[in-house]
Amino acid sequence: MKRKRNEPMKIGSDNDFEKAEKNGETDASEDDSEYLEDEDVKEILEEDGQVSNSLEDSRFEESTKPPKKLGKLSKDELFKPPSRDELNNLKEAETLFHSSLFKMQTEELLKEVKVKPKLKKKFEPWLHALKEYLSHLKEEPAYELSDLSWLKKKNVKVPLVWEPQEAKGKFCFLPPSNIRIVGSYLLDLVCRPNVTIDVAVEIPKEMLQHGDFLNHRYCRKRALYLAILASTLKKSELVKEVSFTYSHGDPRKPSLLITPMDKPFTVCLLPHPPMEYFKLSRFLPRKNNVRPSWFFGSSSTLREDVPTPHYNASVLRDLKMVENLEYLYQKLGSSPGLCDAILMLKVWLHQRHLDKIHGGFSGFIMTMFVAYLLKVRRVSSLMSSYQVLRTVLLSLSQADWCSQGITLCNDVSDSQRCIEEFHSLYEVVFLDSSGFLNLCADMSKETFQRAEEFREFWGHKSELRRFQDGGICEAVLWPASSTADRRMIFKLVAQFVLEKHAGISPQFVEIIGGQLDHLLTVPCSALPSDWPSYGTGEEATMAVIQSYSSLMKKLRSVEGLPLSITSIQGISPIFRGCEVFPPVPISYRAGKKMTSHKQNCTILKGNVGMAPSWVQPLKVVVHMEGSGKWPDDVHAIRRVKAAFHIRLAELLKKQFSLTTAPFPEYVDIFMDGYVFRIIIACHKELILSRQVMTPEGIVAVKDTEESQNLERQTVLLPKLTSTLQGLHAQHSIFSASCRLAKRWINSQLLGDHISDVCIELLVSHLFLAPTPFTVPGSPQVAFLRFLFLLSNHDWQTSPLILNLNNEFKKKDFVEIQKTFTSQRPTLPPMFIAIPQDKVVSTWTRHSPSTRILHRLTILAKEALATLEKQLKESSEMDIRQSFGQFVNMLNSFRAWVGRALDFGAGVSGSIPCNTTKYSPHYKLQVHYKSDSQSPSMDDGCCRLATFLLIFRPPLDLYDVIIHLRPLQIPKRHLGVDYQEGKILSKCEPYKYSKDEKLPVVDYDPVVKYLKELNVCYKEFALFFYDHFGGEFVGVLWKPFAFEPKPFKISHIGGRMIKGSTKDGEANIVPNIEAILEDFSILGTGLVRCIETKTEKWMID
Amino acid sequence: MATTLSSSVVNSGGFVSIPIKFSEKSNSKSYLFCKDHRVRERHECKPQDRTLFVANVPSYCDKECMKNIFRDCGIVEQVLFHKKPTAGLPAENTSNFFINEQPIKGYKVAYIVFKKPSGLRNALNLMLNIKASECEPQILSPQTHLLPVGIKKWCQEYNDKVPDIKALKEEIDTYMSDFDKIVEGEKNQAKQMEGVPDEEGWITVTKHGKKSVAPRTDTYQKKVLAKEKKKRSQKELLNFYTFQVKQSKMEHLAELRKKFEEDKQRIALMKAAKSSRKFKPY
Repeated sequence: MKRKRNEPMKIGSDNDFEKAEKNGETDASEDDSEYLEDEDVKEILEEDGQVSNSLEDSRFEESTKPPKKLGKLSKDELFKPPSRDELNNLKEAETLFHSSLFKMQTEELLKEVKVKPKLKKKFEPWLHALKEYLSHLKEEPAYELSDLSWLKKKNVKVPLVWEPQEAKGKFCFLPPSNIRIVGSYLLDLVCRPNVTIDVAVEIPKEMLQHGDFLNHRYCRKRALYLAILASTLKKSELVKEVSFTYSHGDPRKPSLLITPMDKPFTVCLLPHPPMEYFKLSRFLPRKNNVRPSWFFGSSSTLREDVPTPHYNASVLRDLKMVENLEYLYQKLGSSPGLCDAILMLKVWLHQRHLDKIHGGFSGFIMTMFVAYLLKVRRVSSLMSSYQVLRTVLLSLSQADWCSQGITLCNDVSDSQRCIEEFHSLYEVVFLDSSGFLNLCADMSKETFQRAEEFREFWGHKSELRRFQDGGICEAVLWPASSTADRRMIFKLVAQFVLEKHAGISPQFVEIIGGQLDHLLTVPCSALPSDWPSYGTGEEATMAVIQSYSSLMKKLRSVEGLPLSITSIQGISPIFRGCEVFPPVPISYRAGKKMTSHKQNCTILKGNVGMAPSWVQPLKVVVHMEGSGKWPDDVHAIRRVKAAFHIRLAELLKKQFSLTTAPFPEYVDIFMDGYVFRIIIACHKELILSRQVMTPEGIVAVKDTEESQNLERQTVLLPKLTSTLQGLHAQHSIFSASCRLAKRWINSQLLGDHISDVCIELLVSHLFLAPTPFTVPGSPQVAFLRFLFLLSNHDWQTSPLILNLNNEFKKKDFVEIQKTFTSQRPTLPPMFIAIPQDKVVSTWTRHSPSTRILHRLTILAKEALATLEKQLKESSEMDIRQSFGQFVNMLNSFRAWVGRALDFGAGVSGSIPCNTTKYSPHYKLQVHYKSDSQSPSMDDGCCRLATFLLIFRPPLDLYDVIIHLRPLQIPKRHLGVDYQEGKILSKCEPYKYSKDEKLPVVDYDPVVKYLKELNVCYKEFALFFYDHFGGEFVGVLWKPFAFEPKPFKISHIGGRMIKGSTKDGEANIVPNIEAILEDFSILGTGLVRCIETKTEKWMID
Repeated sequence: MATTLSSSVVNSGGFVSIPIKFSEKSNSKSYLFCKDHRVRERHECKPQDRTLFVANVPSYCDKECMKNIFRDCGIVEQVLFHKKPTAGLPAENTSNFFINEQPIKGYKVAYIVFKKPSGLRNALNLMLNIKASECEPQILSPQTHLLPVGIKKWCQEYNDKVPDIKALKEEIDTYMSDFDKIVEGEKNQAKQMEGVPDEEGWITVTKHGKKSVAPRTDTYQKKVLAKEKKKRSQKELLNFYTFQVKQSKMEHLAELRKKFEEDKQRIALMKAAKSSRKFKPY
């Protein structure tokens, strides 16, 4: 809060505002009270901040201290009579801000954003010096405007496209006639962190001629003026660096950015003509100020009075700049509520990247809009910042400046006519106080040309095609064999269009968006020879789903089961589209040396030198109809279920000749080369496993570990699977995004520490609540956002609420937040609430732990930074030189690609050109370098390798590394760095034969090994492994594992006696040598060697 | 020599340590901690005079290997494994296919029951007389009795999981017919007991009819109680007297204050979280 204490701020209730509106702008609120600055709050906050900083701890230590007990006031404090200030303060928070929490949050936000007074102190003397310097510049001799040769001496280029060459008039440099601060700085509306202060430089009258508004002459003089300023300022001691920029991306209007010596701000110099120098009426939108005969040469066929509205607005904006800013200062300067709201709106614009592009919605327009709302009395200067913010956003959402422009001009009768006039020439209309300038002249809505132009645009690619609905259309066919290819159609389209219409050869066009796709592919040696393009696995998933639905049909039509089936639900990740590597049907043939058969199953011989191919069971839960015949006993139910499994196996074999194998807990079915694992469930079992008889003979419900597992498997997971399946159907890239996220988590060896479902939920959050971005449009963007979410969400203080299926009501959010806050210490470190599970967070209950979560956050932050940097570097754009032409081309290109995508890939087609993380779709990069060499193939390979960087875990972190024998790892071919050709085992496609046996299912020795390690040595160490082809297990000793402990039987496991305490009691310490040897004993046959990094830890 | 050992014995609560190693090739040794079994709660399966209690037994040790270690002391009658010291017999699985007791995982404790009391005495004496550091470690997995570990063990486990369907079927059938008999028996007994007082003189009354009785469950009881409470509260007038109005105002204020305080804390927490960029918009 930066308000001065002695400056009273008027506070009133809502009623007072209504009154204020009726009475005009008089002070209507009667119960004025002094605004209470919350010094106490601030003090408390600051103190707390310091305490926590000192508690910081690095590496694997607990990062966040356990939450302090919430501030509880004693009863006396709660009920003491209130002071007037306190009462007002509390009421104000309640009525004006909804809640005091929100108010405090806004205050904190503003504090972050506002410019500190320290900076002002630095700025003002500097500005003074600059003024001094500029006003004492020397005059320069006059030159012809068409002659630019003299500039070479100055060692500076003109920041303007100089087309056509010819120009009338003279240019002679004079020092500026006036220098003043303009823009947000005066109103204290500058946003951090990039503080830019606009300084207006008045071009002296003597330099201009009255006809200068014509034919770009003004623009050229302005650019030359800047060029000279730049060349002299470069030599000044005040300045560290000068560079040109385009204000709001307008290529006609360069401005000069000055970075001062060791000062934390930049200054933007904006030259402008003296006020009232040109006649305003010259710039009415209908007027022509750029003569076609001059611009296009004498051969032009255009009429001489063709309107030049955009040019007019551009010059006019300079002319009116100072005046408009003064207007704003007058209107807004005295209202802190309005100013705060504008600041927040600026932050909002910035977050959405609306303010950065040519024709964007700049902070200036926003400020003008607030002024407009003030004028039409939609907001008042007494409102709180929150109220203003709400009103502005609401009005914005309702406004349609494309058909109903607005004006700040008071002379309604005159300007009303004008507005219509303006509408005919501009798309968006918002007039300033004079009624002449359209502030939004450059803003454009997407314009779509007519369909006839289609053929011309696409050239030979276009052809007449007949569609299924009978329509015959002009269309362009883009070939794609897999979903991954389909996503890349964009690239083909862009390359084609750019080549045809801009003459840019495809090798200079690069698409950012598919760089990570190859992490989801499998090597060819693991695919059946007849398998079509694998892409990123979407087709493989589809194939499984197809088999699954035919299996469902079979199950439903099985005859002879004593009870009927009520539901069939898949629970494996593949049924949610989230299986990182979906299985492909291959024939499983293992040699007689390795395996033999037992009934329908393949069993292993003990001395196998190589693990058989990995076969993943696809779990399906089948609910049987409820019946009185189900016994009232859990154990008996289990037997009945087993009997069902046997029966089902027999029937499926008999009726559909499927290969089946029953087990007590499930039945495995081999179909189409996939193994489906059917688990029969009965609701009664869950009820019975929860029931507990109390001593009074009342049946109570109590959750046990066992009942929770059962509930998860038979109730929660099926439901979640169908919900996420819905999300998968809605967003085609959900699957690939989720799989990429899982792959990354695993590659960081954290797969065992975060449940699969938890990752899926996190990814689904990106699609359900993408704000402040839009829904991601490519897996890569989704992955970047996933990293962003992980590194930025504050798990300690806020729950992640996932509104799956929109089942949450408004009150649910409040309720969850409330229970979360009050029960924080007992809840898991990562708390995710979904409609089926509001308060427990089932999927994150056991993992990740605080420590792992902390590590994950750090890793995500690192990965995000690295990846963004790599993506940026991989495509340096160098188009600044010919920016003007390029922008125009790109704009028309945008509209077309938008259309093209609607036709081709069904991807919605807006292509915002901003940074990777924020843009929802692919990013287009054009190397506009006509002379650069074409990139060689090697280059491409290297590039892919660099993107792998974040998928390689840092090894120096681990204390012990257990290297495994690659041949014993069934999923070795999925490894991030797996080299094809190491093991050549061509796969044959699956073929049904009558006497086939089930392959070895779900046998992964590494999983077994990890389980044993965890069971035996959980107390001492954490184990990390990449389940997708990892070739080692990372071991990290727990922080206090080596501390000597007193001799106790409960802690004796794995320890030995060493030394004694003072009282003569024996101490025990871990027997590290033996433990290390046990690591290899437990993994006999699997472990290759154990690498100990003793430089990190010592055995005493 | 003996003194150092006895002191270690006393220090570690009367335990003696036996060095062991996995195989001849092993370089490191670990220690079993042994003591005669002496507890208050007695159980006939672990007679105090001939039972040796052993702690820190590695997960891969089986009964055979324990017998091997103590074969020199006397004939071992029985070896019992537990996760932690327990009085009774370890729970055993009654079925080959349905596991109701998970096998012990990780480090465990063992009770070695010798055939004769002399076995226990021998074991204790033997260990007391040898200095731990000098004693050659016992080998757990000699060539004559290799313990299944690693790949071998997992393959075995995988193969064992494939059930013999015929046997499974038979087992289920017998279990279910037994179960049915028990249920039937209980039913009959309940019928017989109807109207007959039990040993304390209580008579159980059961309703036989189409209309179901109120279930005796926790949830139902809670429901009934909540209903009553609601009924009672509806009868009460809350802002009838001035003091009530005043009080409700006070309470509202207190509520606001409480919330304010809580919010203050939350903001503080948010600010404190070091990784957070809560208030930095970009």
